[in-house]
Amino acid sequence: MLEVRGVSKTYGKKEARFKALDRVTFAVPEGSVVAIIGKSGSGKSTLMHAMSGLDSVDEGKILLHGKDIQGMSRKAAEKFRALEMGFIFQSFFIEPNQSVYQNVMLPLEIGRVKPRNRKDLVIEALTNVELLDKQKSRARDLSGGQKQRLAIARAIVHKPKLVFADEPTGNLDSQTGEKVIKLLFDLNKALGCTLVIVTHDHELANRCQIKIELTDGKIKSMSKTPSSASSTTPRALKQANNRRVM
Amino acid sequence: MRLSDLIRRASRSLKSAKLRTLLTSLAIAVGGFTLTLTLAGSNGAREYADKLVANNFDPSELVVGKDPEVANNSTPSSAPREYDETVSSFGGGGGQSSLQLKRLTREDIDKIKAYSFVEQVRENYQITTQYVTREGQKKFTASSEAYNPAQKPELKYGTLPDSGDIGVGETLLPDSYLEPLGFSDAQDAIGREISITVRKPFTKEFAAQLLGTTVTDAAAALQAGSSSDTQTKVLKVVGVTKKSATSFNIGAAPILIGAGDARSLYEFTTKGTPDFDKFLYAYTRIKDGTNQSNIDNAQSILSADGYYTQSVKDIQKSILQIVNTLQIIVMVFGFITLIASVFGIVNTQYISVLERTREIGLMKALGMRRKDISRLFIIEAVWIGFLGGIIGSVVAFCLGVLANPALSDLIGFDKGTYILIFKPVQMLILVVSLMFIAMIAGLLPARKAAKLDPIEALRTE
Repeated sequence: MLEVRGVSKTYGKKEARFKALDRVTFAVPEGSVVAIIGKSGSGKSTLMHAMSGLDSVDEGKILLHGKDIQGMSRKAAEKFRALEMGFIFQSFFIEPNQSVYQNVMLPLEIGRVKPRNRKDLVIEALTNVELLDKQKSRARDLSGGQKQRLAIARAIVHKPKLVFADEPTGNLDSQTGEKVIKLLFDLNKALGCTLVIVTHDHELANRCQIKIELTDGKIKSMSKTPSSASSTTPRALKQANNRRVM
Repeated sequence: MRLSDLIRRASRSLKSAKLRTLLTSLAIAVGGFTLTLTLAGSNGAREYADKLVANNFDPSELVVGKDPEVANNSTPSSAPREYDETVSSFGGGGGQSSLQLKRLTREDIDKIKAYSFVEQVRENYQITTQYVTREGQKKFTASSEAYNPAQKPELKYGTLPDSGDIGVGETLLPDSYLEPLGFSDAQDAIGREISITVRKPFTKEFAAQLLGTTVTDAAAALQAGSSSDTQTKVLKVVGVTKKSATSFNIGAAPILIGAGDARSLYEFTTKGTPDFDKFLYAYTRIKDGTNQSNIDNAQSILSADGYYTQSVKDIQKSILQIVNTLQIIVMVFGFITLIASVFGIVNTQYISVLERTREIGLMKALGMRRKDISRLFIIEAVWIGFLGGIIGSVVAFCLGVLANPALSDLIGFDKGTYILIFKPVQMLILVVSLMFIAMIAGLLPARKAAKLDPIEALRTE
């Protein structure tokens, strides 16, 4: 369960004060797909940063499986992110000069996963995103869609409980974007992780189980859809999804 | 992050910017190159100094004299000294003041011999040779001195006594005199005779004799004096010495004669002067002198009795002082280069931090600790130091190995003796030191990277 309780965040001082989040409260069950939607400046990125512990809040709590992320020390929050969270960004944020394999390895290195366990996990993640044949390629040589799939592999390689996807299709054409979304939904089903998608794409948001719309830092609406648009699960996912990472 | 992961990641980051890494490393390499060559040069100089001392001095001997200058390893004192009419003066000329050096008397020699720790005393005879010649040959200027059994000169031909002095009427002739004296080669000179001539100085009696005559008579007396007041010693050549790079002689090598002959020539040239039977210094062999504590003990006793002494260790120290001074000068230049390269590393790493802001943001988002981000950039700097150190040391080593034979030839070293001696341990320490310096240089950029705000970093375009 991911719970956000009365979270507020203000930027700037005096005349430049700007309330990015205003007593935001919601809860999402484990394994669900949540869309946080809103216009530019509505507070959706601030909320994502707060939920991931990258940014602090002025008041409120953010609980993941009962643990208050905001109440943690910096060190503990870093460790928590390394073990429990995955990130997918609009601009991919891959390391262009490193190989695909090395890119996916990064969270395992940060999470101090034993070296002997790493190879299997990387191969599994690359198989899930159908990039195994590209494992030795330089990341910069991949197409846009492949880069985002690489970012997804990196986000799920350590089997996190919570994956944040910030505008995951923002830099992709509609056809490639659709493939990436389908992959994300499939992975959500197969891995059972909670997927938080930050987007301004209403069509995408409508396909998520929970849709939270933000306006000026406040929740404008929150709706639940009975089922997501997920479809088939890749074969490899079915094989070993509950394998322990550590 | 594990250290091994950080090292691998840092090396991959550097590999992805090969040219920049290489250029930054080269800055460090210049310092490494200079310092490697400096160390190699000082190793060679030290080894040469050791050989020089070993070939010229007996470690069991002390040089003992009565003048402070005997034990002075640096520039002679410039302070005015009280004039002593019992001591002869060396002409300064050219506006310089004359120099008086106190000498050991026969009583001093006897006193030194009487010390229980003294095994043997050899007086130092300073012979002013007028010329050397051989029958049917021209006269040539020469210097001659008593053979020192501790010096063991290198021979071109002939043999040296296993121990002790060379015989009366025998000589060791430097090879530079072979051709002038008409010998076909070194072997040809062995067993043949040469003669060296010394002249009496002006004595009071001779001066009085001159003053009591007319100008014409004085000229005749001078002419007569020059023939009657000279002594010629005919000596048999038993060995031919060759110029050695480990010889202390400056200029032409001296003709070496036995102590007995040296003494008789010295007495002839000093009779009637204040220097008669006086010696600037004496070689004093100490019993069980290979034990340094016996040397130290002898030095302190002799010093307490008003003598000035110099041991092999002191001489070695004075030579090394010059080597050390030169080494420091060159090393200062090396360090200046290193300081410049430190700024190069700081600059490169700062640019790297700016260029990789998003990467840093991503790593922070993924939970990488601040400490690890900082360590990553420090390790990159250390890698640069390592590369620079290796490049500098290896290039210096290769150039040194190639240049060594030519340098040895230039200096006149024997075959196989080199001026640049590379020691792997030193090179290793140097590379490690450069890595450490690079690490210091990497601290500031690493700190900047660690303190980057991940949200701001992720927003960077």
